[in-house]
Amino acid sequence: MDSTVSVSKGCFAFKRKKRNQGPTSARFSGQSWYKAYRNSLTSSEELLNVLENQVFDEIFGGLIDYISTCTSGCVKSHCEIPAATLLTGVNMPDHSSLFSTLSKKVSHSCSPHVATLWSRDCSSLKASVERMCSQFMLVPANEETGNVSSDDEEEGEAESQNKRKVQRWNFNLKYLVSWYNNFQDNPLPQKKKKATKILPKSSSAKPLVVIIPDFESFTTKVLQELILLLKVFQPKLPFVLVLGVATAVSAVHRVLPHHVSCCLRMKVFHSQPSLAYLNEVLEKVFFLPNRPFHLGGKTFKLLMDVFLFHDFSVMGFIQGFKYCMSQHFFDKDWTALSCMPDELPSAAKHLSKTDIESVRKLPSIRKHIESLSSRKDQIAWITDDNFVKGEIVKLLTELHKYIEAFFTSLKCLNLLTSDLPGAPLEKHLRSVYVLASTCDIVKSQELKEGMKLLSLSSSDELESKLKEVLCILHEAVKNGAQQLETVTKKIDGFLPRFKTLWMPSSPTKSMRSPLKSPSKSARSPLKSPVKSPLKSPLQSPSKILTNISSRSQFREKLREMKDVSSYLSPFEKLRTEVLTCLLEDLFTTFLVSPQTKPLHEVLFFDDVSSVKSYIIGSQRQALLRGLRDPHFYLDCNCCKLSDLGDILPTLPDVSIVYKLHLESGKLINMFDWMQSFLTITNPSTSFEEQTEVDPKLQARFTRAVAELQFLGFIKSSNRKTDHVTRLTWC
Amino acid sequence: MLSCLDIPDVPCRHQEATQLVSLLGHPEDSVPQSIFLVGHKSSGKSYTLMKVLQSLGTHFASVNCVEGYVPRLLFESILSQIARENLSPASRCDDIMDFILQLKVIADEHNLHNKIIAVVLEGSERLRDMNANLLPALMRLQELSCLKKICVIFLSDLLWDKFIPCGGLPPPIQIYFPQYSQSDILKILALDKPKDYPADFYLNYLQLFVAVFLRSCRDLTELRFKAAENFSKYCEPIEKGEIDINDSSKLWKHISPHLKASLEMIYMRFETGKKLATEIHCVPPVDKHSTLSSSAKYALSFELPYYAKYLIIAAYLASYNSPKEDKKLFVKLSGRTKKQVQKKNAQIKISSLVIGPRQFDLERLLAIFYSIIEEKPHISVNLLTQITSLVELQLLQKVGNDPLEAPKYKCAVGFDFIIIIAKTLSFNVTKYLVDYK
Repeated sequence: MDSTVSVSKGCFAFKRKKRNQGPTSARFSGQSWYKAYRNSLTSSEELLNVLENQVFDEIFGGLIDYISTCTSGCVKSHCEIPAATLLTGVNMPDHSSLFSTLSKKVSHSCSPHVATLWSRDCSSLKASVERMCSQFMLVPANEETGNVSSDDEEEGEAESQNKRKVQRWNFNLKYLVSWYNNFQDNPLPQKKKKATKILPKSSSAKPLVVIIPDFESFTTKVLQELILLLKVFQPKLPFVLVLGVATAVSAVHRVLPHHVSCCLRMKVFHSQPSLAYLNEVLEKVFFLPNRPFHLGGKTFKLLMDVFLFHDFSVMGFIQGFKYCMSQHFFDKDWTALSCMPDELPSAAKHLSKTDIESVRKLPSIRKHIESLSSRKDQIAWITDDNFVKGEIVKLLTELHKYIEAFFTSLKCLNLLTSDLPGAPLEKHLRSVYVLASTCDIVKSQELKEGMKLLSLSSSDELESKLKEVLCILHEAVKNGAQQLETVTKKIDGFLPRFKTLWMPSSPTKSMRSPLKSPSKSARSPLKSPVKSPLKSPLQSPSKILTNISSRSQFREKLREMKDVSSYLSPFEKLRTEVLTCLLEDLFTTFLVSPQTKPLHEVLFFDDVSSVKSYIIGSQRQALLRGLRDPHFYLDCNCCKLSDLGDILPTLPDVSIVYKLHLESGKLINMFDWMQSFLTITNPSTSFEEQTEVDPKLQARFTRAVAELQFLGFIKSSNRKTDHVTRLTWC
Repeated sequence: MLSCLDIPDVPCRHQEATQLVSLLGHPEDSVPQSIFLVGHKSSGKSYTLMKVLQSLGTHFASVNCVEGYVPRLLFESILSQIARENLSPASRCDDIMDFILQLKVIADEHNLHNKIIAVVLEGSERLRDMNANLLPALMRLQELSCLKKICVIFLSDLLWDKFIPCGGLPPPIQIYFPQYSQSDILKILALDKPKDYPADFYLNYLQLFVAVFLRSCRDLTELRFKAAENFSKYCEPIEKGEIDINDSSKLWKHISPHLKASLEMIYMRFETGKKLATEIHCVPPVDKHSTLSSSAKYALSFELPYYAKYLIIAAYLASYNSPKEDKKLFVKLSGRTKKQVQKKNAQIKISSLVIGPRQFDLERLLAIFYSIIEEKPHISVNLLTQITSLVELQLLQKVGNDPLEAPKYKCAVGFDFIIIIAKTLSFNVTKYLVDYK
């Protein structure tokens, strides 16, 4: 470690000596896993961008229209500031990207004058006004200088000189008025060109848009004064406010007293709830077949938990996803196999010997080899590299196909069960995915429960659901999932039967179906296919019950009736048939957990333990780790420990003191503690008690104890003199 | 003597206008150093003054003191208005001395020594927060600048008593603008009569309108706005031909629910549209919750993450229970304290629900959080950032801003809010509240 000559206490950061490594991308670019990683990352990023644009367009469409029209309709007599209030939801981490996109969009489509005021920059009115004006006056100039082509260079220079002239003390609204008038009279030449290109130049003046993204965290006083100030200048400068409110509109009225709030003319816009946004992201980006990378059930659940329980942040989810992706690929060349199905053969061809060896070591492959029936194949798997390459391609192609069918049938299942009462199989696709990918869903209690409820559904319900299921299936088949074709045809066959169902039948039967007793319907259609030949002719239950004399007889009769009543109407027959078909042909075949498939490690990332500590940072654990094993963070040779219980004299003092305190009980005797500290740091006089203590060592000990107290491991005790209380017990 | 001067026609403010004209209308006589106009918001102070100044043709500069977050801006704005041209950016005017010097120069240049110059300061209560010598200096501007005809007019909605600094100041001439009476308001509102309808009809409407609104609002600008907003609704059935123009009782029946709804949203100006009620609370099923209090509606209008909900409940419990009770409430099997508590209950003082939230430190919050939540989440960075998030949303308040000290918080939401949040978690808060009965 480096050292300093400084006498002051504190942290010193030492810059690592630069090695000639270049940027990360250059360092890794030659390696095959990196290429695969880039491919997979860029393809998901593209999808995400498309989706993001689409979502933002939806939110901002109305808002931008409003901004561009609101100033023109301002009546002179009550000239309030138009304030578009955007309700953003409480997912704080997403807001900055939302508002930066908004400001870009506004400057592109309705007005070049946009200023964004974050509360962190606006501690006082003066600061916020300066901030706002500087953004209005400087930003267009910057853009221009950036965009000037060679023939416009002179103007560009003039522009930058202009910029220099505008000094800090000029950032006030009075100056802004003159700047704005100037700008309106003779807009910059480039601006004109742009304006004619992009939008027809409107006669009205361009509004000055002030975006306040985090309304709630503003100091109320600053905000009030800012609004009053803008109101004073409103006749001269057409301001438009955009307030980003995370909670609800009433928050605006809690913050602003009435003489301020009546300066605003509010219009409320809603952004999409982040949960809906996430569902969309999942559907359009993650739950797609033919992706080279999927999140396994456990990692997916981890990310979902962070989202639902902690912050509702879609950005956070996406970052977590990307992190998992990098972790999946990093430094493992065989992950080059995680690619689109059509690139598989070439990827397999480039596998090296060691890569194939690591593929062989994958647990799923081991299982696969063991399950092979022929001895010859097993040997070929272990010895013949080329054979393995071929097999890998075969297995992975199968896996891709399986994934396609898996997602399709997952969607079908979710569609069927999402609106069941009590939602035994969860409402959302995401939770069904977690269930299906972590355990065998077909045998699970939840699916049985769901099927039980489904077998109570009415014909209309079932028919409409079946139609939707067919839609999904047809689409999947169209996209090339041949394995689903037979099921689709079979289900297709059921639909016409629904139509003919009621035509000849008597009304009494149709009346019966909704009145069915649950005990009867609970007879699982799953296990017992319909017993079509009726055991006994149907008798009205009331008739049987009339000639009963004793309770035991009654009970017996009831038991008999239970067996008797297995008469099924044509609809009930059809229903059981449909459900059995769905269960056996669709779910049982295709909803197998991916973990059972060979080579699932290539396409699914399910190593939760390796990413958990990074996605959910835990300061306590980091602290304990630092104290227990300083080498982990310091990365120095002197602190390397063979066993975590070891205490070396070279460890940092806090670490030594911490480790010693682990050995004691609730109360720690300071003197004993120091003695043991001394025996470690100064081993020469270890055996006799050191009464004469080196003041330097004593000072080090005192300081370490103080640090430990600051970290919250001990506190001073009043019970015994010279003792401290230990606070943590691990 | 007054009759020779033109007194401008200001509705319901004739007396005050006369007073102002008598003070400012005689350039040949001496002019008061300062005039202080006081009256509630929107009681016609600036309007009357501007009318008077315009009709007298006085040379004046009018500034709103909000602009004066830096005094320089205030001075420069006044100077440029007196000079009637933009000042060169080089001439900075940083303090009152510069201001007086430049004022003299401008007066020389523009030959203003014998004309009345009025300096109007709107919202002058802000001057109190600025430099201590600013207000006294402005009040004696005539003396300091040696311009005999300059007059500083302060407009404020606070009484002069609130302005007097500890050193004391000679009182200026004060003109009090009383609130408009009901008949005044009617008279003024009647001036906004739309052309298409007869005066009687409009007056009829205004009487209905004022009867509903006057109790809760006397702000004239707000009333004008609301009157115009509701009039279009009032006329709607007439334009459609559903109700006759003279059938006032039917019209009243039609408009009264609208007026009531509009009264609830007073001082909140939304873009005129039909969906006003639903826009405010942002929950689609507003009708269902119409009986709830506003804070309950607030709680319903947005969704919090799961742990954040428990955190806010824990914060509420920490704020409204005293730390002494914590052991009894949150530690299981602490039966010994029972008797003592009963004794204490006998001499209970004031409920903490009345006193308001207590502050608590982070550790107490987390301890309560972990005792009320069933699953024990790891204390992670994500969890702790939720607390910051809640502070940003103003559901929690941070007390003190010492970055080194352990942070302390207060719960900023009320009982109704917590009840709603707890309901979504099916968690019984009242069980943990000592003062709740």
